[in-house]
Parts: sequence; structure tokens; C-alpha cells
Amino acid sequence: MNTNMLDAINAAKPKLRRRITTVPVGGAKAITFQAVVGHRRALLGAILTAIVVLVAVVSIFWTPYDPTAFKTGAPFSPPDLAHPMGTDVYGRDILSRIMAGAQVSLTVAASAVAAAAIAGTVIGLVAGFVGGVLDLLATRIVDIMLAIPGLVFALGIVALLGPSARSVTVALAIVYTWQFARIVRSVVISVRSRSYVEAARGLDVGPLTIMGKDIFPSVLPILIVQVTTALAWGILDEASLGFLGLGVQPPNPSWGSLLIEGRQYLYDAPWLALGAGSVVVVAVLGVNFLGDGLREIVDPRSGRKN
Amino acid sequence: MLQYVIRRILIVIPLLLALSVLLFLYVHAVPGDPIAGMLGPNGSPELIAQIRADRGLDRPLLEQYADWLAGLFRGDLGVSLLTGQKITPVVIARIPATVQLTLMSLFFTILIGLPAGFVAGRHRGTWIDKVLSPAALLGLSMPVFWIGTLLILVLAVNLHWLPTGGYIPFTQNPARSLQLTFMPAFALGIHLSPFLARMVRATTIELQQEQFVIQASMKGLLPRTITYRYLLRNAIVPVLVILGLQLGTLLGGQVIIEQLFNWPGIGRLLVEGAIQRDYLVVQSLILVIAAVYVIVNLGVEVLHAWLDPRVRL
Repeated sequence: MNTNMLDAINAAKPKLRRRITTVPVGGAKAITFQAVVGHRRALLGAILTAIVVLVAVVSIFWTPYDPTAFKTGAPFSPPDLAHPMGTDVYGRDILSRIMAGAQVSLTVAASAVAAAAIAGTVIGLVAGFVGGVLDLLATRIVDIMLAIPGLVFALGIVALLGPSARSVTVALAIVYTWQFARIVRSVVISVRSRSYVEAARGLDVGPLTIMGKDIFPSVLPILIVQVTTALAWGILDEASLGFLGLGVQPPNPSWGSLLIEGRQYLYDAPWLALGAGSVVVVAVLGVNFLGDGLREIVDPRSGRKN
Repeated sequence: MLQYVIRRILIVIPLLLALSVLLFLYVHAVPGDPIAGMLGPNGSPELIAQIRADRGLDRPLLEQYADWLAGLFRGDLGVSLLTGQKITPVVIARIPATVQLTLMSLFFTILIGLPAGFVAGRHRGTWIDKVLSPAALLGLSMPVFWIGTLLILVLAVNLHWLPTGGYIPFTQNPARSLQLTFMPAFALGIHLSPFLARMVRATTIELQQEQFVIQASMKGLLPRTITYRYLLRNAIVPVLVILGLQLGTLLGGQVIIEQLFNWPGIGRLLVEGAIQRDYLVVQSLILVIAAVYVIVNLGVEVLHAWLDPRVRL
């Protein structure tokens, strides 16, 4: 769903002759702890994200009820003290299921983004640094992959692999890789002719060392921003695929699978869909706040305009 | 201008061909046998062999691709793996519903996003900007099915103003048809407009720093004249480009919204195909969706170049 957003910004920029670029003029600023704490939106985002991660971690050791146990209360009981988020058709506790679901959803999103970030960085670094035919080929492949709307692409891959948490992870990793490749490549292109890179080349430093020691540090801040943005997509897309019945399958809780259960009982128990949906919104909002803040820290020029 | 158009088309044609190769290989990338995968435990070896021969999947790959590609040029998407029926007529039957939803969604996206972004940019830093900007971020964080679910709960379940879903062709009953389109299209509009608003806001802010706008205000032109004649007119060009690019998000969102509102469009067909593991249907629909996305953006680029000659350089 949001997969094409950043793509849109990037693609629109040269066309709109914008001065806000993905590659900040004069290089990206470093992301430091002080910078995050000092930036209101980044801090709020970091706190929200930390809470969601904490809930997921806690759920490994403790949930109010067993998330898959039946009849922890009356079926379809609306939210009350014993069940703060109500129960579902089998009397399972929704809060426990959402907590356990956080674990699955965050793992899927984080693994997919990590894999995509690594693969995309390698492609982007090599393509941008080596240049020539290799770069042309990589750019064309990226163009082809980005021509398929993200969710549609992911849906096709999940259909291929069969619905499961692992398929969703693989599908999202494949879909997100190209975005990373494109962004990393653009940063590499912008720094590869800088004097310090030229100097390293002149000193006969090996290409791998130049990529790792001279170029990658310039890529890193922008990569971190992109990872944050992609995490927000990851959570949304996992939930979306789950909602379509193509994600993690019930009865295993994930935010996606909880939403599809909620959709079946929209009339009898609206709190099912509302609860799981609200949690997704809070998690994504937190990550988006963080990503937005980090983008402004990395490129203060964008902050003045956004 | 003509040269520009030709140059763009020359980039798009290989892109579409490459997409067709990629999606052709898709079916053959199924781990194990696609037909066995589709039939599950019911698939006897005889049945699998029979279906494979019937759908032409036992021929050499190159021959299959050549046939498929030749079919695509004739508008023939091939047959369904599951039923063996032609896919093209099924897709055509779904087009009106999807196009109607797409157009209405774009309408709501512009209706919400353009004024919100423009006002926030024109009055940057004021209370209205401080309300609209976080609202946009909230909108970006809401999954589209969540927006749709909220609309259903409020407008259908609680207020009984609208039915929860369904579709009637526009030609059959225009008023009723538009009424049914409202909720799904509005949900997509809310989903897409925050991004548009952000871009319009940034553009508006940038425009206000341009020489010609500063000069206009130094000449003593009324703020209203500047707003409409100088800013709004120039802010509308980027809207076009952004909407073209957002079509990808819209098409993805439509897959979900069509499912939520029982809307018989292309998106639902895709989800049905994916759940039934009908790889040939999934393959064709992804190709159709990607091709529409690519071609619409080609059109947008050309239109943009026509409106703003600097782009052609």
C-alpha cells in the first residue's frame, strides 16, 4: 500500500525540479542520540516504537491469558476489566492475542526489511560504484520491479509460496529490495567522484575497502531513514496481506490474521477489528514519526519545508 | 515535443516486454508443480498431466512464451489454470467496476488533498498548518482497510445511511451506483490524500519563495490574486505527476478495498486467483495492473511535458 510512496517522492523530484533531494546537499548529517532526543517528533516516534517492541518482547514471557486458549471468558464479551479488549467467538482474550500478534507481525516486518536493506544496499553499492553496463542493467531491473505496485507484487509472491509468515517475509523482502537499491545507488553516484574517494582510488585502495570505508558511511544515515520508512510499510503490508487471507493463517495470531477474524464479526463484535486495527495504527504512526524525524535530522533542509 | 514523446515510448516498450518475461517466468517459478500445488491432495498424476497438456504447459518454454506474447498483442491473456476458460472476457467484465472506483477515489483524493496541502502551505506555521500536518501523518499511518472498516461501522452499522458494500453498474441505476461507490472511494481518498497534501504543501511553500511570486506581492497585487493566479495554478502541475505515481498505491489499495466492500473489480479477481492458486490468472492480472500503471504514467509524463516545457529538456 505505501510501498510506492517513497518511490513517488524520488521519482517526482527530478520532474518537479525540487530542491529537496534524497541525497542531502553537502552530505547527510549523522544520526546521534542527542539529535533524536532533541527532535520532538523523532523522540515521540522512538518512544511509541519502543513501547510496541516492549509489548512484543513481554508477550514472549507473559500475556494476560494464553493467546490460543479457548473460553478464557464468555464468547464475544465486549471490553471490560477482565478482558480489556474483549473476547472473540471462542472466548479467547483479544489483548493476549494482540500482544502475541505483535511478536509475529514485528518479526515479519523487521526480517523482511533487514533482508531487503542488505540485498538492496549490496546491489546499489555495486551498481553505483562499478557503473557502466552493470549499473545500466541494475537500473533497468530496478525499474521493472518498481513498475509492479508493491502490494500486488507481494500478493503474487505469497500466492506462489503459499500463505504463511515465512512467505510474507520473503515476499516483502523481495518487494522492498529495489527501493533500497535505488536509494543507495543514488547516494553512491553522488559521492563516488568526491575527492576523498578519488584519493583512495589513487592510493590503490581495493574497491571493497573503498565501498566499505569511504562510501558506505555516506549511505548509512539515509539507509537508516529508509529502513524506518520500510518498517512502517512492513507492518501495514503484513496486516494487509493478512486481511486478504494471504498472510499468517488463523488461529496463529498476527495483526493481519486478527484483522481477518475481526472482519468476519464486524457486526457482532466490532471491537475485534477496532482493537487490532488501532494497534496497527499506533505502531505505524510511531515508526512514521520516527522516520520523519530522522529524515529531518539527516537532511535539515527538508525540515524547513515539511 | 514529438521527439520527447517518442523517446519516452522507446523506454516504455522494453520495460513492458521485460515485465512480460518476468511474469511469464513467474508461473514456472512455482516450487514443485503449479498444477499439483493448485489441486492439492486431490491431484492424481493423470489429472495433473491432462491439465498440463490441456493448458499447453508441456511445450518448450520458448514456444509457450512466444504464444503467450502473441496472444497479449491480440488482447488474449490466455486461459485460467483452474477452469481452462479464457481470462480476457472475465477481466473485461470487471473493468467497469474497477474504473468507476478508481475515478471516484481520485476525485476524493484531489478534493481532500489539494485544498488541505495548499492551505497548509499558504499559511505555513499557523494553527491550520499545525493541525493539518500531523493529521496527514496520521492518515499515512492508517491502513486502508482500517479506514474502510471505520466508515462501515459509522455510516452503515450505526447510522444506517449506506449499505455495507456491494455494486450496481452505473448504467443500470446511476444514483444507486454512485451511492454504493461512496464509501470505498472515500476510504481510498482518505488513504491517498495525505501524501498528495504533503507534496502540494511543499510545492506551495517553495513557490512562495520564487522570484515571480515575490515580485507579484511587491507590485502590490492582492493576496487573493496571488493565491489563485500565481500559486494555485502552478501547484496544480505537480498534482498531476503525483497522482500518476500514486496510481500504484491506489491499485494496491483497491485490491484491499474491493475485498472489504464486496466490490466485483480486478482487485477481487486477483485475490480470488491468489487464494485458489490459479497462477495463470494471477500472472495475467499482475501484468495488466503493471501495464496500466506504466502506461498511465507515460501519459502523465507526456501531459506534464506539454504543460511544463522545461521537462522536455
